[in-house]
Amino acid sequence: MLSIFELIVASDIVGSVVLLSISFFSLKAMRGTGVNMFLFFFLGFALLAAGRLSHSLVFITLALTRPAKIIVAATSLTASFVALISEVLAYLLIAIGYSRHARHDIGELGTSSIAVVAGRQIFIQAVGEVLNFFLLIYIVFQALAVYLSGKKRGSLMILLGFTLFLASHLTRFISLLELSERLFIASKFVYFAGMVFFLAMVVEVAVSR
Amino acid sequence: MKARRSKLRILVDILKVIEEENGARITQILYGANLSYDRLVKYIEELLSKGLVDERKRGQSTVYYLTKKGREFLVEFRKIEKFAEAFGVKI
Repeated sequence: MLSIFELIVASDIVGSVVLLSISFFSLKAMRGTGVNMFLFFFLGFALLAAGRLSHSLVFITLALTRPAKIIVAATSLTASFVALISEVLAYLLIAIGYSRHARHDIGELGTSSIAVVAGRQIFIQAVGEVLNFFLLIYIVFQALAVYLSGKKRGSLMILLGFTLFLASHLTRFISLLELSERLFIASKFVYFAGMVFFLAMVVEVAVSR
Repeated sequence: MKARRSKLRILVDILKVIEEENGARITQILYGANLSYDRLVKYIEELLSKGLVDERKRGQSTVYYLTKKGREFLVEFRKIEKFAEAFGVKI
C-alpha cells in the first residue's frame, strides 16, 4: 500500500510527464505554424514540468538518503521556493501566450511539516500562491473565452484543466493560512485531477489521424 | 470580413483535395482548394519539390497523388490543428 507521500510524489512525476508532453506539442505547433503564442506555452509548460519534477526528485533523494533534520528542512525550503518561483514564471508565460493571441474574439510536492510551520516560508508561499491565483484567473477566463467561441472538446479539456489548477491553488492557499495538512494534500489531488484533463487532451491529439 | 488563408493552410487544402479524390487533376484541385490557376501551379511546384505530392500522366491529363511523406504530413498537421484549436488558434 502506497503512503500519501509516495502517492503525491508519483502524481507529481506523472503530472510532469503530462506537462512535458503539452510542452512538446506546443513546440511542434510553433514550428509547424509559426504562431509565437506556442513559444510561450512551450516555455511555460516546460518550466511547470521542470519545477515539479525537480521538486519531486529532491524529495525522493531526501527520503532515500535520510540526512540530518536541519538539512532536510533547508533543502525542502529551498526546493519549495525554487518550485514556487518556476510556477509563477510558468503561469506568467502561459498568460502572456494567451494575451498575445486575440484570435478568439471575444506546486510542488510535499512541503514538509517543517516547511509548513516556518513563518517566513509561509509568507513567501502565500505571496506566490496569490500571484499564481491571479495569473490562473486570467488564464481560466482566456480558456473559457476560447471554449465559448468554438465549443470544441479539446478546448473544454484545457478549460477544466486550468480551472482545477485554480481550485488547487485556492485550496493550497487556504491550507497555508489554516496550517492544514489535509487541505494541502487535497490541493495536490485537485491539481492531479486537472492534469488528467490535460492528459486526455494530449492523448486525443496524439491518436488523431 | 473573411480572414486570409495562410500559405500553410493553402498547401494543406490542396493536399486534402488530392487525398479526398484519391488522386486529383488540376481542375479538381482548382475548385476544391479555391485558387487561381497561376497560384495553384506555384503551390503544386512547391509540393512536388518537397516530395509531398507526385504527378503521373493519365491519358492527356496529369493526375496528382499524395506521397507517403504527404500523407504523414497531413496526419501531423491534423494533430497540430487539433492542439492549436484547443488553445483557440485557427491555423
